[in-house]
Amino acid sequence: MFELLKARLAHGYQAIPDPLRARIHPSFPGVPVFLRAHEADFSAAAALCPTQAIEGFSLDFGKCVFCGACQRNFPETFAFSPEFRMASDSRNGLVVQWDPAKQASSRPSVCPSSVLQQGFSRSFALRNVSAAGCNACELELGAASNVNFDMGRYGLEVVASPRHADALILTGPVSANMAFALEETWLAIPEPKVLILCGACAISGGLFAEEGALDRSWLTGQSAALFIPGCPAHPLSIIHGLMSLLGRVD
Amino acid sequence: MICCGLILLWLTLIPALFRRSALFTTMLCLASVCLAFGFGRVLFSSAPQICHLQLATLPLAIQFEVDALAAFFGCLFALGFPLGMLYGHFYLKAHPGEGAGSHLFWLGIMMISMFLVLLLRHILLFLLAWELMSLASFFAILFDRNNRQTRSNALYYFVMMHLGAAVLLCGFALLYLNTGSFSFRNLVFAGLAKWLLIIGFAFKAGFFPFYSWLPKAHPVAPSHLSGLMSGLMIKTGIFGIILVLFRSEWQAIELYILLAVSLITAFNGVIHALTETNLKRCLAYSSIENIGLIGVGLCFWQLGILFANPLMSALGLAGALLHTLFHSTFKPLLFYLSGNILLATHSLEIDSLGGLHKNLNYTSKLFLLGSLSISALPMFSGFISEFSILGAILLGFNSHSLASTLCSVVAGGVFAFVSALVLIAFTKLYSIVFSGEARSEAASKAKEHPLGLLLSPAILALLSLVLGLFGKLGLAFVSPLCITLGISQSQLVGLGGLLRGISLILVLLLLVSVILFLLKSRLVKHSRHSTWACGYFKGSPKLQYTGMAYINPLAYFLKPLLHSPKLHQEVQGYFPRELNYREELFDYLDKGLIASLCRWLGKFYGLFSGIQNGKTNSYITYLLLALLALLFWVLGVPR
Amino acid sequence: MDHDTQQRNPFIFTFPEPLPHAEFISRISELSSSGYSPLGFFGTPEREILCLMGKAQHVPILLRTAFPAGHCYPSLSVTIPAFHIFERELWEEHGITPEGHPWLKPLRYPAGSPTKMESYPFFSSPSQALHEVGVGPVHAGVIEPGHFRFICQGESIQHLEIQLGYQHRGLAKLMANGDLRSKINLSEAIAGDSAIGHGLAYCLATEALCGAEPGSALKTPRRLALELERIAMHLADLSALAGDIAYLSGQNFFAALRTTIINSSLAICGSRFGKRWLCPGGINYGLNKEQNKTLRTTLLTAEKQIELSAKAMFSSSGVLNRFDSTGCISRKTAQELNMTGITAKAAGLPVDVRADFPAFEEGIFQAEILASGDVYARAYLRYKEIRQSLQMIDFWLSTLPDVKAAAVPLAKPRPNLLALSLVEGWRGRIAHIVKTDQKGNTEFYRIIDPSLHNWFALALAVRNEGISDFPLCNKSFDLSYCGHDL
Repeated sequence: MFELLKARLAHGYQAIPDPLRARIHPSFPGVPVFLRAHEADFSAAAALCPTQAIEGFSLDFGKCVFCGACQRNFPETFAFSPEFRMASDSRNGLVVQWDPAKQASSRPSVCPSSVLQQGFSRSFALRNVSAAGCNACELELGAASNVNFDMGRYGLEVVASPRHADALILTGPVSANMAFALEETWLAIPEPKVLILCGACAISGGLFAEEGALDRSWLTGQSAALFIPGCPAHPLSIIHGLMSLLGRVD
Repeated sequence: MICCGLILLWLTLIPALFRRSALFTTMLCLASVCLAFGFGRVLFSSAPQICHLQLATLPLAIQFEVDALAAFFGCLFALGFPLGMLYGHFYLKAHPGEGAGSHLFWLGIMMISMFLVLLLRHILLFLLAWELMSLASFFAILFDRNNRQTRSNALYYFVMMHLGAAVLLCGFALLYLNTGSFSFRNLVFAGLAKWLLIIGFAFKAGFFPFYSWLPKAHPVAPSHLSGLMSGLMIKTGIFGIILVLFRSEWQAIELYILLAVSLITAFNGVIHALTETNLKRCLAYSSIENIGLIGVGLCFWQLGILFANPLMSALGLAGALLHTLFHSTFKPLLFYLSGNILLATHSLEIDSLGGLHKNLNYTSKLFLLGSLSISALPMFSGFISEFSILGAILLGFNSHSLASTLCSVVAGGVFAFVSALVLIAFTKLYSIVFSGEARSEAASKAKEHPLGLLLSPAILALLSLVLGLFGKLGLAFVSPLCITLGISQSQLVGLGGLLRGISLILVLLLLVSVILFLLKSRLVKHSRHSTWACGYFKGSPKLQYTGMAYINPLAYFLKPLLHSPKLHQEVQGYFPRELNYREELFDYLDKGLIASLCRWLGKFYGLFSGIQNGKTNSYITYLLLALLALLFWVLGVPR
Repeated sequence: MDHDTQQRNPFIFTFPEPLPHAEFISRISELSSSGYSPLGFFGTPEREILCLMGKAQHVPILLRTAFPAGHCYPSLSVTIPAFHIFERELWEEHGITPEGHPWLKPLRYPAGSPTKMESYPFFSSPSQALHEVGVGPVHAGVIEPGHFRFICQGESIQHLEIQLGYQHRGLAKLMANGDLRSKINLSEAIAGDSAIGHGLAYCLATEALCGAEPGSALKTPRRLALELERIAMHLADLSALAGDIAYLSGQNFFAALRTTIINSSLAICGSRFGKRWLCPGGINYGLNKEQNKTLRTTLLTAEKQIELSAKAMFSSSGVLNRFDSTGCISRKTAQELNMTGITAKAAGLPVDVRADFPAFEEGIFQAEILASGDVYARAYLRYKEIRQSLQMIDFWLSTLPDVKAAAVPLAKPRPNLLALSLVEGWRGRIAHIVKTDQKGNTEFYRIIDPSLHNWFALALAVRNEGISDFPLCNKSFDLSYCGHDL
């Protein structure tokens, strides 16, 4: 018993005081920022990008796996700010555009969902479907409930059965072998329900987008309420994205 | 009125002989109405009727005595028989068996003999009626006579009944020796006689250790007969036991023995009901358990007299009689519904049923009502009777008398445990048979039956519900008999008040539930989707509990009492080829004691098989020897 | 030795001559009985079967034969069970039937496979006293998909069959398309929790094929990254194991410690999983003196806390009650079924790539071994490996100079060579096998995750355990679904 007490004392207080306004290490690749609109750099980076996320003067960070190749090779044009507040409520919101007028790139934002604000702002149950992800997003989603990030304090939790859930949070690019299970899970969630896509693979297929082993046909017919990019999505991004959707971030 | 009814009953045999089941049923209903009226009048007027019948040819005067006890059971039978035959008529139409013609005849004889048993108080005539009852039911059970199992079980039943009758005969013989008269109308039973009589009646009722015929006979009998036997015939045993208990003096130690036997009966019945996989056998064991509970009530009636606790007496007797009455409503209900299941799926093994709530909609709802009733849940009749008996037990917590407290502790503990196990047994039965997915082709193809087969069960279920909500109705029916048997009015009034309070709460609860249910169905949006199966492509009927699996954690603790040999093959190697597992839980008494007894008897008689060797020479030798012996005897005896 | 072949991990082979089929099989049996175990056995697009047999401290042996006539041959799994999973894979990918295979069932259901997932032939029993329980693919927690079919007698599991394939993404094809040198991101995504493990295997194989080798200054940060990943994931496993038995103190202690460790990864390369740290030829993010010092201090503090937490957990009788003698695997089983990593080491089988096929020159590595093969052994072994890795990292950090991000330039991969790189991931032995054709393009890229072998251990370990102990056994192995399914 004394060992337990000693360990507990050493453990201390681990919860991050305010995950919504936490400070993350500056080397974290968050929202991409364009420093200048250098055409040669952009086209060279487009060739380097493993998921063809760069097109013209835009970077789709729903496709981006945050490999950092563009930043390392063209540090004067590309940078990744340590901004973990990356979620968006629309697919287009994840496309960073160079705005010539402002000489800066756009930033994503999440417009809170009114439906969810009414009923779920203090208790939001998620059901995760892991559909051919590499397990990193799953670990991060799991970490969002751990003693440090503790999204449970906001009433956000991952529940065991889709019958208890309010939202389906998808991780992974959806292989053909998981397509049926994904749709079954969606049908098993009672109304009202929303779809949340977490991670580059879920949003766009990520690194696997071209391969014939995927089946994203069901997804194309759905309109997701929230897109949380990242490879993997950081727990702080997940929590902030969910809280924005619920209208609890000022 | 009663004689009218009896004559009508005799007349029903005519259409029975001609296999006119509809006419038979109608006449039976008429007869029952007459009898019910007659018995009811006697019961509520508390004036025993005596009716003499002198047959010109015989030197005996047949005397029918209708006292309150006979009237009570008479009413019970008069209500139970028509409902049974109502079901039976449609069942026989749907399931024509080999012996359909004579079956009705024997049913008629059985019903007549059951009434006669209640009315006759002449030793020889009583025994005649008793044996006739056994005989008639034996032939009636042989409805499906081509089945070897049916024949052997029916024979077993017959032999057991005969043994019981033999014990009764001994008991009555002793009585005759003591008193010199054949009539036991106002007799006090004493000494060995009372024990022999109690044992004889216990054979019929199904107390431990004389119950093993019950789980054999009920499953092979046609369902309406199972219901009639379980609901009504074994109550003749109870009738006899009440008679003996009332007419004798009991010492404390004797009552403790009786209490112990009742408790063991109840416990043994329920643990076998838990582990059975045949639906009807499960219900049969449950009947044994209920008989045990009735026995407990009756013991507390006598113990109340012993401990000078009149309220305990009242509650005990009232509870026992109420349970007798209620058991005759919900047990036949369950048996008739099992008949429905058999007709629809041709199987009574619960592990090959399943998903029947979809196909057999009404049957499943009625079965649920029956299960709720037998598990003694409030709003249903079983609750009222078990509440009364438990009340009697709890009254024994008396600081003055150690014996009383001890009785209550032991009885209360076993009673509570048994009640819980009954609930488990019936949740298992209901969920494996009706919930989930069909486990076999036959179960998935089952179709609901037309109204005929549902009418009788529906009436019984309604009765269960009404008697459960309004406990005072049952008490009103039972009170006259209680008073005749020595309970004071005031105690019953006290019980009545309590039951009225309960009724009030239950009716309110029912109203609130109905209102909430209506509100919910109005206000809440429903959508249907298949059971969540973790997203797998399709379910399989194997992906659900079997009866044994459901019970397994509990059965683990009960195994020492249940004698289970099993064939268990462990999975071999990394890549197993096959996996076989069979577990059967046997009745110690049945497969252990009685089977070995039969074996020894067989061996013993086998020693004499040399005598009956089939050779004519030997038989001639025996004749010669016999003649010689006679010669010596005649010559040798001095004049 | 020929410059083209390489005698230590990563191994380079020139393609041997194809053997006649009977000799191929007999060579395999010979090698198997002299202590070799199969590192790989698969079909190639050139319609040949390759087999790599390896033994500790020896150079692996590559055998080659053409597809057998009639597309069937007598199964090797009958005598050498270690081949069971490889032969199923060969059957599914190329239609070559191993006759007499005791468990020939589909493995991954790749695109275009003729069989359907819903008609998987589960082992079943006709007995009515047994019932089946089916769990998955969508599981109750946040975990990858797979289907578990139990045959239970009451609460006791008689048999478990695991059906995987839900995670199949066609990785092998993606790795083989295009320039071999641009596949680092994809290889890190084979199994995101083993990003360094698979990433390193890929880098070693690619560098070997391109004939380049980064200097030792660049090698050490890579080994450091691998050990850091091992520590992080072992802590995650200990946390999950504690959570499964409701020992919430342990769950929280280890989860917090894991956060500390992976945040150190984040501080160096920007990813909590070590993604984007490695690249073929070197590393993308270096380690300067500041970072070195910070890392060392962090790890020292963490070590003390890990010790305290582990002591508290492993001395709790409630924990020991659940862990001890649950889900046992014998050493014989581990050896016969070619198990690797924690699964094998906790059963007494000393297999560790760092000891058996060292990729780096210095020292003899001594793997930690425990003998009981139960959940306790696997949990405690994780703790021992954490401590071992922490000591190694501390040693490296103490002697590491300022390292800048750098990569050796890679020429086009040399033609007609086969590379085998082995890495001891935190689950076990990762094997990447790449072959180049005569133009230097990738002919095929095979990935063998340790989970491919170890999943069967779970199916064997739960026999005769209560079904409520299944999550505990599952977590004690913590196998990769996506590593198996590729």
